[in-house]
Amino acid sequence: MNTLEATGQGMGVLQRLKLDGWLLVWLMLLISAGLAVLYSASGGSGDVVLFQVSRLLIGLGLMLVLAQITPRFMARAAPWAYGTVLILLVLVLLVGEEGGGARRWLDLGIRFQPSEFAKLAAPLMLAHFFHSSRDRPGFLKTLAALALIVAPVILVTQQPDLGTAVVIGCFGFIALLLAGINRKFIYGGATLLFLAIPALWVSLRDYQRQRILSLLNPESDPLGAGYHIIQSKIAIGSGGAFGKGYMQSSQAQFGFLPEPTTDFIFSVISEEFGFVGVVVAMLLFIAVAVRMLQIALAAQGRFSRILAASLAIGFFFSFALNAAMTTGLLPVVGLPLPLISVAGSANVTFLAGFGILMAIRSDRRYLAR
Amino acid sequence: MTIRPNSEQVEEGTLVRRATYMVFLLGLLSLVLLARLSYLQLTQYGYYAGQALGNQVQGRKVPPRRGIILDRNGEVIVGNQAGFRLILVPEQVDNLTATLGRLAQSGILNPEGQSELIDFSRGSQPFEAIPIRTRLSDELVARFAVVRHRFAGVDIEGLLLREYPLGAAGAHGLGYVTAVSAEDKERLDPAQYAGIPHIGKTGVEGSYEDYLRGMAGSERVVTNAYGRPLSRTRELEPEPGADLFLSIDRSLQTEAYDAMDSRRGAVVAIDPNDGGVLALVSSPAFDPNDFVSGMNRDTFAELNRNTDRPMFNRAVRGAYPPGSTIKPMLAFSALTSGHREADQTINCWGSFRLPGSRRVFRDWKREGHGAMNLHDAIAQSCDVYFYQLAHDINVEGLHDSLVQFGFGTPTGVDVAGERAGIVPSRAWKRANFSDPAQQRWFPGDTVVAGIGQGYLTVTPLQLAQAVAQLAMRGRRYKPRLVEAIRDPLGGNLVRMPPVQTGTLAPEAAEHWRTVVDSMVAVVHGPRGTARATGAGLDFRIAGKTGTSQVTALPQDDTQVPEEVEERFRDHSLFVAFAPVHEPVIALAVIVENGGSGSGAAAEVASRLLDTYLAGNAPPDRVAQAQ
Repeated sequence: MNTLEATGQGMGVLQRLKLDGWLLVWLMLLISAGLAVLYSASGGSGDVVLFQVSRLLIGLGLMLVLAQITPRFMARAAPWAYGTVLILLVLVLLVGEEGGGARRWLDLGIRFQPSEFAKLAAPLMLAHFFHSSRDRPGFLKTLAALALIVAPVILVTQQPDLGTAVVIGCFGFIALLLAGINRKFIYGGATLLFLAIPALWVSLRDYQRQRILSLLNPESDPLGAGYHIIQSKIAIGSGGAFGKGYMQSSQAQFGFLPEPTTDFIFSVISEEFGFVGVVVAMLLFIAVAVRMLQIALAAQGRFSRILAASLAIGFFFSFALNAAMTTGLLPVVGLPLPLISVAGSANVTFLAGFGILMAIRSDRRYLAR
Repeated sequence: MTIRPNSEQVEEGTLVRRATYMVFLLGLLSLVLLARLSYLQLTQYGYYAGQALGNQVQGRKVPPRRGIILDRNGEVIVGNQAGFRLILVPEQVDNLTATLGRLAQSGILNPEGQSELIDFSRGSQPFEAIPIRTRLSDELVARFAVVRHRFAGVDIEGLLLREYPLGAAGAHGLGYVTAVSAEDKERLDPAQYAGIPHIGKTGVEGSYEDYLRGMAGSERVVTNAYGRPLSRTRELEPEPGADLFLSIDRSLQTEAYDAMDSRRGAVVAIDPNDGGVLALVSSPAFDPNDFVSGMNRDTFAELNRNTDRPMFNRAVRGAYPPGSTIKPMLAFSALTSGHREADQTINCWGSFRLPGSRRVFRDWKREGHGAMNLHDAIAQSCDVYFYQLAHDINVEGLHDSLVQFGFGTPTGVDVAGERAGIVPSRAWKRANFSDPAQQRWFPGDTVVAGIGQGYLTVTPLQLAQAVAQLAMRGRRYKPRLVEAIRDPLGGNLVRMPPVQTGTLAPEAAEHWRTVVDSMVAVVHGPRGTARATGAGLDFRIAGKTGTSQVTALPQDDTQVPEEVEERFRDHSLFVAFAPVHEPVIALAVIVENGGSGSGAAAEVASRLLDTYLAGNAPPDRVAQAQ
């Protein structure tokens, strides 16, 4: 684990900044590759890349700051952070900016999506909620934890932003499962969820239902709801084994692929670099996730372990959801590819998560034990 | 590390176990993703690569240049003009009605006629571009360019539009083209008409459609998602249509239409030496340019409702009683068959009565012409002389002599829709009347046919052909408009040799001279029916007037033409050729309800002959001859 720290003086700098060398290496590789892909996907737009860089720098700065904070302090601050995010989510519904039929944005000098922060706030809150108790959580405690998850999820579905709500729920549930809730609750919950599917279906909006149906048979409406999936699959499939080459994505350049810089940037990678390139990208995401898991398993204390493991699994899960969506395995719900898509708030949140991971890793007090 | 399992360590064991499950699940998900990616990118690569290419590259037809049409002097009388039109691809338009509405708001489309466009788009394939406005002005092209991004599926297309510089004057001879309609497509070979925007409908445009059309080429067009072309690659060059060289004389054609001055009637002028049609005019007419870019329904309905029938080609389809214009032909036949001698005289007292009948056939001149030989009878158009002549040669002789001059059968001209006219006979009457009382041929039927009345009808074209035959002293050529076709690729001019369709009594030079002299006397003789016209002519011509009754007028002729309702007035006819000895032009003019042949029709004819001869004939001026 400490291979990099052991070598040379440079690692001493990392040590002093409390940054994790391996995680930083994988992140930088991912981010640089992502910026290169973004330049191509945006049709060679320097503006888009600059915007992305600015947001990534904010995230990296936040990562650096969070890396200095002890997990103990984080645990204490968790309820405040969680409460702030809830307030922001309520504000979004009240005074948020509308765009494309949804209220997702808040403009407080800088425009951002509070729902993205909830991805971090939910596991943080749950880790805090469970770290004090040494016992397996009982029924009431589990119910209370569920409420903590459901609160931001419901607020986000009201925007509406189904994709983000699902991911927030997932982050929360991962934390809940890791906290060791009784298996009975897991099975019971799963059964309830299954039974609730008809009710959920009815509560979905028309376009959301359309997207799920179009996944099953995209060709039924090639110019309507199925268009995104069809064009994305064409982009990916036409990339072949080795791809069309950098800046050669005809699907993106000629405007056939919708949202090439945001939700469907994975398709651009697949089209330009082919199967080989997309496997390399996957390996980079896996490398990040594996390093995160290593940190999580080495961490001491329930709070740190639950939080770190949730973030690690949640990060890879976010990647997998986006990839599954663009390859037509899951409905199109509008999720960014972590660190690659143009999605300022999401990227800042992910980078903040890495900061938390790094703080946990360098928490000497726990390590010393 | 673990010495004594406490509850915290139990919980941490749970965490590790559950984390392991989750990692296992994520690994499984990664494998599914890998499988999916390899399916899409490796197994299905060929399919999706094709789809990606199909997204961008579309095969399009490139319309060929339609052959142009030139007159006998090499002037373009039907051409192509580069223009722009606005097209719309229905499948690329979200809401057709709204899009058309917004285009109208922007001042690019007329608010009217939108429902027609919507109807039309329903009848065509959604991926086929439909023209929504043709002949865009430069200003409209510029205006659309500014707002183009707001109209996905709407674009400007450059194309060649048919242009008819002669306008209405050439309408019936040259014909017109229209957009290929849905009905056309059902009827025609789709391979030949793929990518062909227009089809020739009538006249030369219709008859020579196969030559003029050409073959569409094809190209690959790379487009973006909004259908905008980014680059083009020619796969097959379009093959232009063949150019046609006509015998039509542009200025004569225009002059003839102008001379008709919107009156109902027709003018056909022929070069008697080869049958080349110099002018073929039906009046009134329509502007063929209106058909090219799609005529609106009202204009079309108005054209069809008009009682003057501007869409009707009188020159080849109008069947008229020829009146006295056939007297020279009948006279020639009587001379050759021995029924008449040139100097044999018949006394004309103003009327004719069949032996044993009380029915009176009147001469146009009440008091009669007196003693008439054949020459005077033609020059003064004595009806009694020809009543007697017809009676003498009888129905069979009459029929044969008219058929010799090409009446009763279509001439075979290269303009579609020609009528045959009627040369009546006993057999014809039997076949065409149901009432047994009327199926009999009466001697009176023969008598009125002698002055070109009764059942006898001819087309202006047939009349011109017969006059041309007189001019050529018996040689008859099939009338035709197209003299040569220029091969579009090699540029070779393929000339079409004249087709001689008859030779009548070439040995009877004496008889020809007699008849032609009498026709000269019609115009230039002291008592000729058209001597007033002759007085104003620069050139010596041979002619014949004709006045044909629309319906049999009451036999007491107290009515003067002005009092008869306009539509019941006589048709005015005039036929002529010139120069008398080496003729270059033969023509027939008919002005419906124009009154006497020496009036309206002779005026038109003399105007045309003077114009044409001034430029085209060896001098045979009136002054020199006298």
